[in-house]
Amino acid sequence: MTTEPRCAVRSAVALALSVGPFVSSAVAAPTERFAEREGLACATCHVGTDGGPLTAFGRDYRWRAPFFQDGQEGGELAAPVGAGSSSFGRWSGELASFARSGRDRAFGERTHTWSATETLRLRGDELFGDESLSFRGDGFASNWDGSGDYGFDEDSLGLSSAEVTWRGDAAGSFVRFGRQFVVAGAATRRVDGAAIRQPLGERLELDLFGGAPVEDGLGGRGGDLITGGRLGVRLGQSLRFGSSAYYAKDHSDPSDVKGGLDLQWSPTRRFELFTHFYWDWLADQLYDARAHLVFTPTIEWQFAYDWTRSVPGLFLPKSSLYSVFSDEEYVEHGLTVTRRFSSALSANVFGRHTDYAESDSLAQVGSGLDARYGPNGEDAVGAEAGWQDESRTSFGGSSTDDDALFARIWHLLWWTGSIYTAVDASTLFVMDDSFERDAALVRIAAGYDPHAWWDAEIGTDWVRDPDFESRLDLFARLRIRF
Amino acid sequence: MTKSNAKRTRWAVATAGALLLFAASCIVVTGRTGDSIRFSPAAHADLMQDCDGCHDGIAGHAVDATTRRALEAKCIACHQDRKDDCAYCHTDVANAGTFPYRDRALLFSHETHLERTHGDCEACHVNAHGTVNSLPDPAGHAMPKHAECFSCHEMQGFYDQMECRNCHQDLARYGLLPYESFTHAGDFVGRGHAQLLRSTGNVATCAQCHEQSSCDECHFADVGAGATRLTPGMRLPEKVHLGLIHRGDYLFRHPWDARSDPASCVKCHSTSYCRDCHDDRGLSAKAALTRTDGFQFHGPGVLFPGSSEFHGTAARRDPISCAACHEDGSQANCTSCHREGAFGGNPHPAGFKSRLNKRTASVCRLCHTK
Repeated sequence: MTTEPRCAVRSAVALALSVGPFVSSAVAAPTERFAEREGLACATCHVGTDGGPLTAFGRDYRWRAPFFQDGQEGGELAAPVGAGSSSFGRWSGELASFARSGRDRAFGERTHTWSATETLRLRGDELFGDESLSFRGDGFASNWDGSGDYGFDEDSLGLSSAEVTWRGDAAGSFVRFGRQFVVAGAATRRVDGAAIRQPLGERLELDLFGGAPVEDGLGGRGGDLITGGRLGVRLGQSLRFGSSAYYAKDHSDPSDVKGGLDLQWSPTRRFELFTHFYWDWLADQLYDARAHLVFTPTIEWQFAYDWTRSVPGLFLPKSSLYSVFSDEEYVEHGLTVTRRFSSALSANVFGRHTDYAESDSLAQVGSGLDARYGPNGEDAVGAEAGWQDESRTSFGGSSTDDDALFARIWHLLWWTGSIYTAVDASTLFVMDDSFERDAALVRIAAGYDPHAWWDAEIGTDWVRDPDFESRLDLFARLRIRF
Repeated sequence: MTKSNAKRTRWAVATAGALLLFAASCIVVTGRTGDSIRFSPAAHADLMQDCDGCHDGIAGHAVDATTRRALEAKCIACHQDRKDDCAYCHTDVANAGTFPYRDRALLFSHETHLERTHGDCEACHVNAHGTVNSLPDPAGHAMPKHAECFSCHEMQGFYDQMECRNCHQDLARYGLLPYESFTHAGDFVGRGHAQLLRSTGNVATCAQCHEQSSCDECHFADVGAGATRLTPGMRLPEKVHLGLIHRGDYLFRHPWDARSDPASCVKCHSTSYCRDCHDDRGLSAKAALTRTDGFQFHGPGVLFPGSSEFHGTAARRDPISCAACHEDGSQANCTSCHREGAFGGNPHPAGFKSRLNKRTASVCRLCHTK
């Protein structure tokens, strides 16, 4: 092979840089022809009218037609591994079985437990031939058994999610039905119901949702009905803010009424601010406010500062009797400094200080190391260590002093393209003599993943527990993809 | 700090140091085989014009994991007489490697790129076949890096903004870069990602690499009685680099987290989740009544104001931990002492406000009976 073509490319790039501004319309010609043919404005796909960064629609088009070029639009995307097509759509999924055996403790007695859990994930695209219609589902069945006279004889069956989504023509718009995870400002809930997202022009976006909160989902039960939404505003690329609220009802009483403001500001790529202020309308007070400020002066350094002011008791639904006792709020400041030595090696140090009422406080410091290596960076090794020191004037209830030191190492290694091992070892040194001993965990897992329709993993946990006796658990996982 | 605690601290620091040393040595000790392939570009110069001759299907429309490398069979097709002489090709016969490969799931066509580079593979794959002084790297280090792509494609901005979908079909199936490579720095899994998602517009950004349903990897609903207790760490034991919460020692560690940030638990779990597990293990005050070993969850001062174990202090600070066991609606044991007219007194904190109607709201009427 020769180097001449390279020189030619370099020369062409230099020439293009010098005369580019004058011929940009010619460079964009294929796209212009497409816009003309389809009757669309340039700004449909591009942020500006002179080409350049794509809008969500533009990205979506490029996603669907990756080999678009002059005179040759379109191109077929490869279906996901194992995806099967039918008149009902392209379906794929994963069936996994988890088995576990080990010791546990019930009512002061040692007991052996066995558990088996099966999970099923289903993914359907282009349902009934409609590209805009898709399905995602995740369910499980579980069985626990144990020796001894107490407990651990439990069967369960449930749906984590089962949602049908219809995506509209406007970028990012959708209507979703079923059991789903809703994220809309103040509300992060799992609901059985419907959610709608619709951009309103170029600057506004509207989210609405309603349904029945799923028991034991995020935020607790919360009632029989929940409904809410968020109206977001986007000003340019650097500023987004929104107002959100939700209302939950339980047995005809309002159980949770909250809302507030969120904001994301990124005046430069080196500076990002995320913040929100959420209000509990029933308690008539601010219950959760956070700010997360990230400064990245160079690719090697990043500084992230967190500020939190929160009232834990107000996270309980008002249908809980315990929501009327709390007068505790805490304020936390945290700083994390991350140093990237290369794309495969980074380290961070963090410090966090939390102030509770009555001069009580919690201080945490620590550091972590993360290294990736191997042909595709899939091998990973790391370590972390942390210290926390709690100062309390009174404990209350069964609380204990929380001074502790934590250390951990982990290592994921792909020995070949299909065989891997994972080691995770951690220990917690408790600075409180009321515990008989410190805690430690060593997990070793080995797996075989031929990158085909199945993979398998076995492993063991050795746990040294300060309250219970040491124990050795065995676990296995089999996953089938289809 | 007591003397025993000081000694314990020294041991802890020494152990942490040893663990860090071990972690660092892992990289060295477990390094992959140094095997490579003896290959002379000059000797194969006449074959270089026909990439397909060795790299089956390389000029095709799609690129996948099986068409990039020259397979052994292609070598043997010409070097039949050396079939049993492993050292003829392998530099380290004792550790001859089966090198890992991945489906990179790129939106990419070799066919169109070869047109643009006029058939020059090395425009992207620098030294793919090695040089006189260096052997080729069959493990794939000749894969173009982002910078090489960006030398022609003006996509640095997309990269910075995490607009990965322009090129990457599915990053979820790809060897991901460290979280710190993007905006996943610091304690992103533990804290940052929730903050990011509060501004709903970012859902689309996350969706480039993560399906909406991937939230279920961790936010896995434990629905109904007899919950699975299949924690993220149990479900994905090999994902040690993600620092997933609830790893195997979490049963012991959870009181630490619950006390420092009680709200962090109820964001995902209802209080009945705590109660079910504590009851199963006989670790609640109610379950303790059936135990014969004298176990008591609360200390003896739990009912006495002024005691360090007084329940009122805990209820003010962390009512969630009380609710974890005592959330029994009208049967909640608070009401017997704190209802209107009872001797326990008003449990509301100073300045307590509520928009609920205490005469009609069912939770108020547990105590406000008059």
